[in-house]
Amino acid sequence: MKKVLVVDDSATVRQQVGLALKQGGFEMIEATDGLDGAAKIGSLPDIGMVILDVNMPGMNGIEMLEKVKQIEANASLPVIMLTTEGQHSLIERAKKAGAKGWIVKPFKPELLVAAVRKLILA
Amino acid sequence: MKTNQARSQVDHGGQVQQLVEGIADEACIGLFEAYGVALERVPPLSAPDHDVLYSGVIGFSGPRMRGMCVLAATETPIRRSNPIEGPLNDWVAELSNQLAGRMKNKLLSYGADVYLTTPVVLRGEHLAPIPNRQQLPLAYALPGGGVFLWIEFDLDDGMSLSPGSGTAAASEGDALLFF
Amino acid sequence: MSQKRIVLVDASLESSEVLVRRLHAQGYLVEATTDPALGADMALAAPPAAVIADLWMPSISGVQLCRLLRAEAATRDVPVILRGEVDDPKSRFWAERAGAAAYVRKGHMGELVRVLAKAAVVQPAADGFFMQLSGGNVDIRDRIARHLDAALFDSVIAAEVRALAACGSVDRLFDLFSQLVSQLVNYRWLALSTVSPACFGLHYHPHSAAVAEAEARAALGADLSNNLIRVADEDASEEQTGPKAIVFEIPFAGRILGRLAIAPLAGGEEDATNMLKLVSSELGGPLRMAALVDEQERLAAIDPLTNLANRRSFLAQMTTEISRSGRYGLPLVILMMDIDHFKLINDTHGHAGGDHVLTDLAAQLRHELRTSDLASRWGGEEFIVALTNTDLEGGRMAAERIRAAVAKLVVLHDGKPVPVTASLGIASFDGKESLDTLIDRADRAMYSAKVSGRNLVVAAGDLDCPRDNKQSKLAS
Repeated sequence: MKKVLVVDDSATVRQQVGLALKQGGFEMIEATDGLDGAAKIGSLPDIGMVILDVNMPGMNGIEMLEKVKQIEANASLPVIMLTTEGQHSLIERAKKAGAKGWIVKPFKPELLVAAVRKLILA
Repeated sequence: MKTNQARSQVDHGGQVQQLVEGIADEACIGLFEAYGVALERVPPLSAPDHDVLYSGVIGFSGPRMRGMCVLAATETPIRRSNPIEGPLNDWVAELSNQLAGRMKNKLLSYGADVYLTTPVVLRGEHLAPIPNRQQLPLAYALPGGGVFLWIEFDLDDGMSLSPGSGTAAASEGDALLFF
Repeated sequence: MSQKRIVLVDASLESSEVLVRRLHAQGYLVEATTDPALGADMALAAPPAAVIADLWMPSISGVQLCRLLRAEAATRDVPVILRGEVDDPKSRFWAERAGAAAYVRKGHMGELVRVLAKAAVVQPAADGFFMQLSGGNVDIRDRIARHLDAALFDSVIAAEVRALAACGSVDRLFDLFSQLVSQLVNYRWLALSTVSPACFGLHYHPHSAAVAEAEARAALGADLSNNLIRVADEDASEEQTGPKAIVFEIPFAGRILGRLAIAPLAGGEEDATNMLKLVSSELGGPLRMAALVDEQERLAAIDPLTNLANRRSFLAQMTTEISRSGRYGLPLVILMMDIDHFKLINDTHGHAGGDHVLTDLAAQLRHELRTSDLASRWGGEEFIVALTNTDLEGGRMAAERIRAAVAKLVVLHDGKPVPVTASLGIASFDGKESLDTLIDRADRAMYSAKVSGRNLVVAAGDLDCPRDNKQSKLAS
């Protein structure tokens, strides 16, 4: 089973998501910012899904999403944004770039897991 | 901070301050409640004594407005609200982030478009930012601890905040799935 | 948290984008998805102030979603607003029947907002911050299946029929199927006839048994000897007369698995025809599935080579049979048969030859027995038969007949004839003994036949059966 890449600069959030994923039977790979996340997507073969924060130092989540989705190999990689941001312009931008969802923190663990279960690549 | 725009000395700043503090108050109580901690608003001078304070500082910045938000708390509310057993520093940063996020989304609906700076976390005793105007923080009490919030917000001349003048945004609890 | 939350199910991402913005502007929180099952899950896990869903959706319709939420305690009071492309009486009618708070045309944002403002109810805060979602699709399906009523639509009906594939036997499938169809259309009787396995199912009103059966058999040309599944209850109409039966074939993978027939009520021919056409086109899959499961179970009780019951199955059935015989004082004979020189047959003609003999012999055995007798493979070259309602003399006659038939049997393997004989032992139930004891006595009798020259029938008690054990079962 493939793993979920969680990209967030907060260790607490990563751990919190990791815990929820674990309870849902999924394993997590962590990344601390956009560059780290993009690099991991490029190099690790067992990433089946991405949960992505927006506000991160350096490259923000939307920029990272757009960059990653430009690569054809990542076309079917599901990405859900998990962030404090709520601006519609950002949401539409992410949707256009290929994100599969936008969740505003705090998240409901079981809802997140249900989404992962539905989307994660085999 | 840009100074080529004249900053107003007129007390409409008082109105703005009140408005923003109101937004902050709602955001703060809501945030801690979401993580299982009930806060009670108290007059600042009667706030409990604090030994160690955790602080997160977030900046707001927009074309015609600017501000900052300092969240400070004793250990108890930080530890209690932390969803995992992890480093408290990191959680304070995230709390500040989420607090500012809530405020920003609300401000959007008032016509204020700002971006947030990355939170800076400080830990120490008797911390207090030096605000532009002498102001007291919003204070909250809970059994065994306290939370303080300093808010400062500046609008350029001619700018004003009014409800419904902006665009509504998604907020905490929204889950928009595109499948 | 006083902000009202809406769960939105909208298949179109474009239209939902606009709606979400509007909802946010009105101060609502939104949980949105295109998947009705996930939407139902969200609503059930944390009851929102309102649910907005499309009336027509591919898997679970808005009507079904509405009925489901109405039926569950957690969401009973959550208003559901259904949206559709057109504003016609039929859509409004179904929405109302489903229990929706309102039906609003898509794109009519103002109306939606007004309706929402009136209807949205703040739900009491759920326990705890972290909600429990159900397992997903399967659970929702189960729950919908429990809340069937007349407001179903083609896609949902088709899905319901397909879901019957899980029921695991043709009997049960017909039972559930007739329950489903009787909810959708009124009829005097509903009948199913299948080819393989050959079955005939009939759902009728208890007062119309004879009429229904006669008409159904006539309509389907059903053979009287087919396995008959009867379902009799008030879901079928009591009317004894009506229009001619309507018959449809059940296709599957290029074959016809069977036929469905329905006897409509006066005036209901069109509805019945449409319904039958729909369900018969979907029934093939589930029917095949149920038949396969049935067959699997049957096979578990059958010896695959000889097609006789296997040992396990024989013992299971005999346990019941022997207590019945004991209770009612019915005579019972156990017959044990062992093929003579089987090892030699295997050595001479190979295992294929041995198998051939076993198969032919089993077939012959079945031929010699009545349907009330139970024949089973007992071991490698041993057979056991239960002759019900038979006393010792009757058993002896039957055994002798079998012995002779086996001796006369010509088994041709690779063009060469394989001579076969068997040794038989019988024992008559004494009314009280255990099954083990009875079988044991028949076994000893058979052994006795072996040592007495083979190709012979011996009854327990005939000769003094040697007590020493099977170690002299040497060149058997």
